Amino acid sequence: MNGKIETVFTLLSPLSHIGESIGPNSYLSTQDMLDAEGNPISVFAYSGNALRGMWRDAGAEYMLKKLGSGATLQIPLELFYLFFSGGAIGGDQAIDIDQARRIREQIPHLSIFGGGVGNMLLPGKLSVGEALPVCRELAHIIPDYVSGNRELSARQMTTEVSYSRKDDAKDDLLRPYLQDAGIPQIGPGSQMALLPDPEQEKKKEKKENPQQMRYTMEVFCRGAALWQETFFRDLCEIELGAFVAAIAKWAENPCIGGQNRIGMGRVKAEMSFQLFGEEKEPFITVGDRCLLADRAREAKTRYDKFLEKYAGYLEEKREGLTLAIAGKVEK
Amino acid sequence: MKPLKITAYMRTGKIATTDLYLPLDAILEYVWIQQNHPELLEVSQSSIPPDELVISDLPLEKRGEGDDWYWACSFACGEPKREEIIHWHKRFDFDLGTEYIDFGNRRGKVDVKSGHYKNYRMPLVTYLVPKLEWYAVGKLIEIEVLLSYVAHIGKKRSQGFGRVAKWIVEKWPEDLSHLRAIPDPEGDMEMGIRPPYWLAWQWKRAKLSDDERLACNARLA
Repeated sequence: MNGKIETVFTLLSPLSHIGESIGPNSYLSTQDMLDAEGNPISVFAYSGNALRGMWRDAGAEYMLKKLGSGATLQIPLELFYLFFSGGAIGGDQAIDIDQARRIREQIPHLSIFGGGVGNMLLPGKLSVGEALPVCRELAHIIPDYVSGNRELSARQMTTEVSYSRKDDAKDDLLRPYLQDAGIPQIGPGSQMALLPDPEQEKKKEKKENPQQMRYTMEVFCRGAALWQETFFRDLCEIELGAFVAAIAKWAENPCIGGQNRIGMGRVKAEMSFQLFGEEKEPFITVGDRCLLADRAREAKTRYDKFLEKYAGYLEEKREGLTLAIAGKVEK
Repeated sequence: MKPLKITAYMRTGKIATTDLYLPLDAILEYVWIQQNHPELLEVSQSSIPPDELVISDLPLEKRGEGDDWYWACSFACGEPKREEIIHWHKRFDFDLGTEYIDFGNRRGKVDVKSGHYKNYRMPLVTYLVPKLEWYAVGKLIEIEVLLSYVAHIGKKRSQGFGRVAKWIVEKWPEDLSHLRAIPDPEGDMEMGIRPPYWLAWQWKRAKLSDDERLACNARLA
């Protein structure tokens, strides 16, 4: 299968995606692009690499939860790094096409997102593009059927939010809980002055370096729409299922960008699917619930069955995943 | 085979490349390999021994003598508007690590400042180009078909760089396919003259035209 998946994200809370920080202030990431007249402009874009990393993490989590049959399957560090971060290769590259094929067959998650296995580099099958805001500057790029405000500049869709980080050590009500709060301070020149205690000095230094601060973040406004394309090549049904599973896992907490802990980056998403030369069809809707269209549901069911079979195998052979990565599991 | 002009209209204009050569015969060969020898794309290769090199059958005219042969297809022509170095990041996720890593009897410590698990902030050279043009001598329809599978060009396509919005292939009155690296013993440097251009053992001494239409020769404003 060759084609693309289009996604329209709608921001349900402000989005933070830092490009530059100056002191306690951070600013949104921008990219040079071309306007309708072909002139360079700088516009906010949510990076394709960030989306890819997020979906890769979700896909790996889904796989390990499923393989653990309810419990979390814990894996060696090397495998964790491969599944969640794409791994790394060391030394001269080695080529073993048969081994690469077997790895792809056994671990569809790795096949679609790619990674460095041993000394081999397995290219992924996805091209995850950046998410572009529907705005005046990019109105010539975003397809007409994508709703959003095309009259407003992307600059007008940003705002700044400020937060305070409080130093609780300075709060009189909380001070009794501080271990050294009751120690009498001996002033300089006092008869009882002793050589400074290194531990005390360290604490004093900490006290003198204020923890309290006001910081500001530039964010993209709630309600804005972002349009994004993901291209795939040579996907088989199970690999498509692995992608759908990653999205379904991500949809349990559908956030993009940073500061999710304070509620930022919450989105709803509408995804469509299109094979090259064929009509576009609805694929996945991520909102309060994750709704899968027929094609997505069937692909995910097939992937789930594949993983269930694999989970049974792992029950008997705990080192099964390590063997699969080494290409030692026969079909 | 006829002289042709091939134009790629870029979506955002952002292409990741260091040299702006972007030879179209290499792009066409990638699609040809995808269709005829997909097994070769299962794994990335940093070298190919001479006896394992697959020679593609592209709908382009072959030029040159003996081992100095090359395809009649130019390097990219166009006017880059701006150069920008952006960064992509790779980091070890400690939060997920605490949940999913089994350290066994070892101490659960991961060094992300150096070694295998190092975090990266990688610079990437990108150019902003509204459209790129190539000149070739070849078969129009067959080239159109191959290009219909090309959605991105340049590096880091996995991150969406080099997105092509539209390809146009048209007959052209002039043969400008010489706007490329041509084998020449008097040439200024050793370079690739046919795909895969990165394969160092098949580099030849060659001369690259200094024509300003070539994107690699264009001066940024």
